[in-house]
Amino acid sequence: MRTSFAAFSLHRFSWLICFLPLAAGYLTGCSPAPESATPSPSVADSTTPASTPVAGKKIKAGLVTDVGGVNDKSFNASAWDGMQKAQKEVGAEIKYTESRVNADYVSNLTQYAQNGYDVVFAVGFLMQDAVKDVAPKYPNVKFAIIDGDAPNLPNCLSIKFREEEGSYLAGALAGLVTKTNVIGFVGGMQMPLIEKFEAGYEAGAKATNPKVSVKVGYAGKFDDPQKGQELALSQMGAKADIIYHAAGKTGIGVIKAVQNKGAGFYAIGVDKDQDGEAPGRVLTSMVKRVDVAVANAIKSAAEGKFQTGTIVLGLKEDGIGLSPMQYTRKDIPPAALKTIEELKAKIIAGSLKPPTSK
Amino acid sequence: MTALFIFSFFIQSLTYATPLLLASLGELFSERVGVINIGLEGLLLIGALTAVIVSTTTGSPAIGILAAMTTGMITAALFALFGVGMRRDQVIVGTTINFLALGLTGVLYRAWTAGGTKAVSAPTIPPLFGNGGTAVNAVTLGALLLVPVAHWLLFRTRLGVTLRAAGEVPEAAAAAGTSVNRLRVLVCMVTGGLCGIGGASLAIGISNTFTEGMTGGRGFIALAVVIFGRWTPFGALGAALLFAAADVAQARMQAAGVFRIPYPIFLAVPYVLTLLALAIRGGRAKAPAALGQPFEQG
Repeated sequence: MRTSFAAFSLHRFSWLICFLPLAAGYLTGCSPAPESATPSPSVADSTTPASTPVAGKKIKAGLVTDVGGVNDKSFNASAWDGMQKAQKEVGAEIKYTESRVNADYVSNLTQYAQNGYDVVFAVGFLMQDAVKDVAPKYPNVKFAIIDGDAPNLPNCLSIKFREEEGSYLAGALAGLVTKTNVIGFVGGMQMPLIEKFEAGYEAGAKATNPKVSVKVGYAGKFDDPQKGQELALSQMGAKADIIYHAAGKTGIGVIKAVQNKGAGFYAIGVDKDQDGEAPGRVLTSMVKRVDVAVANAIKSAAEGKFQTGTIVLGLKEDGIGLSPMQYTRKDIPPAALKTIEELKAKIIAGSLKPPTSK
Repeated sequence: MTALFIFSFFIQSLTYATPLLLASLGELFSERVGVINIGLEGLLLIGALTAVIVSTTTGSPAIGILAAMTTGMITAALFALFGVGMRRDQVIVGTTINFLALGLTGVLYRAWTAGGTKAVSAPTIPPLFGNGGTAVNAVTLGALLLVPVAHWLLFRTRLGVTLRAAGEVPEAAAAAGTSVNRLRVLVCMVTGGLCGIGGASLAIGISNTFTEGMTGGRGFIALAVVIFGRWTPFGALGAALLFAAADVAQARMQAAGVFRIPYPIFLAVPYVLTLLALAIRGGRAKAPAALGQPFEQG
């Protein structure tokens, strides 16, 4: 009697074990968003639109973030900044929806298209297929995807960045500043987009310091700061003194690990200016002006001049760049800063092309 | 050199094992008394956020840990209200706690940081000795010391016998004069408190930050730790250390650039090991007989 009882109870929960990895994946992939949020309209009301929207009607723009969410301190957040900029400048009506899991992309995009939005932004490479699905069904709605390829349709725009250019400069700076001749890179997931950061960084570092070696680590996740901390500690244990991350929230762990280690170690931020995350310990940030690109796309749509096809932004277009280094500039040798400016000029002139893959 | 390497490897594993160990010790007691609480992930998350907010506003990581323990206990009391008091399906109540915590912490964190625009630097738990990768803090040490204490409590005291009886044959425990449900509620709160401290160690002892969903499935791994550790405190310690060491090993292998084993394999390791442990279960390794079954005191 006792035995069968125990066996029964174990059986009752065995299924749970099979379900655990799924549940863990689901939970971690989630972002606890309110379904959508509307910012206070007072800003829009108090500003006069800089240009007259088509037919005197306010332009409506919707943003669908990927699972990182609008609070990722990274490119989703930057896209939302751009929306807010457009709200101030052209009085656009703006709204965002956060995707909890990858399966939400199609329904989130569809919702905006159905509700009479003029421009719908899809943030992130992962949403590429969803845009391909939804865009053909709503020819009157403009779709823009950040970091991904848009389908070849008259209502679609793809906004991409030459991340390798900014990463090259970040690497070049790291090569000049490192004392140990070992630097690190932490990526979120290993995929072509993130490898662009890695390749540019490594090439830049080798260009200014042929003796440098680059330790590379991938976390497999964009939203786990402990994994970032772990990889950063291991790399610092292997003598790395500067670590660049392209890992979203995982990268916050990289910055905090470096901050904890203290003087002599630097992190390099990504996407947004992250220098303030650990003042003095973030050497610079490779800033991707997703905000500018988003604001410009809304403005052009408001003027009835929405461009379709592909826009690629780099150093030349000011779509990519290093942060102003407000906390660290004083610690960097002026000669190093001069070298960075020279390299930047070469890239803009087209005489130097950083690699996009290894 | 090699000795130092092994030492730092061990210390780092110990640090990463701390949240797992605390959560799994809590779950261990919970399951021993007959309550399955799969809301560990949510409890850890609530502890993590509380620790960051309270440590930042008071400037004291110790108060942050205490506050995390308290919010963990309060949330666990909510679990106990439904799962024990109202005799609802504990698996469903636990799942609800996970989602509730994920949503609640996200909303509160955003409100607190004004939508993520404010950079947060919470005062962190200072190391007792060592630095950087080889630092050990008081929470890690406390979690380690808790292992023999838990063992003694469970297997060498009268309370331990009563507790295990409530999880195996609650009718017998009740007949012996124990209020089974009151005991279960108390143990639930202890589980919540331990998870709260575990969350604090993750947020202000390891990562030094809070991000939404930062527990990254550790609450579920802790459930696996309990089973892999065969419902014993020392077993849980071994399992938590093993899982943490696998993590540290893969990070170091990447840094050393030796092999590049695809990361997802390491992500699957705890679950594969747990399935193995279930498959080859034998001897005395059984879940408590009345696990997950609500009890009505006659």
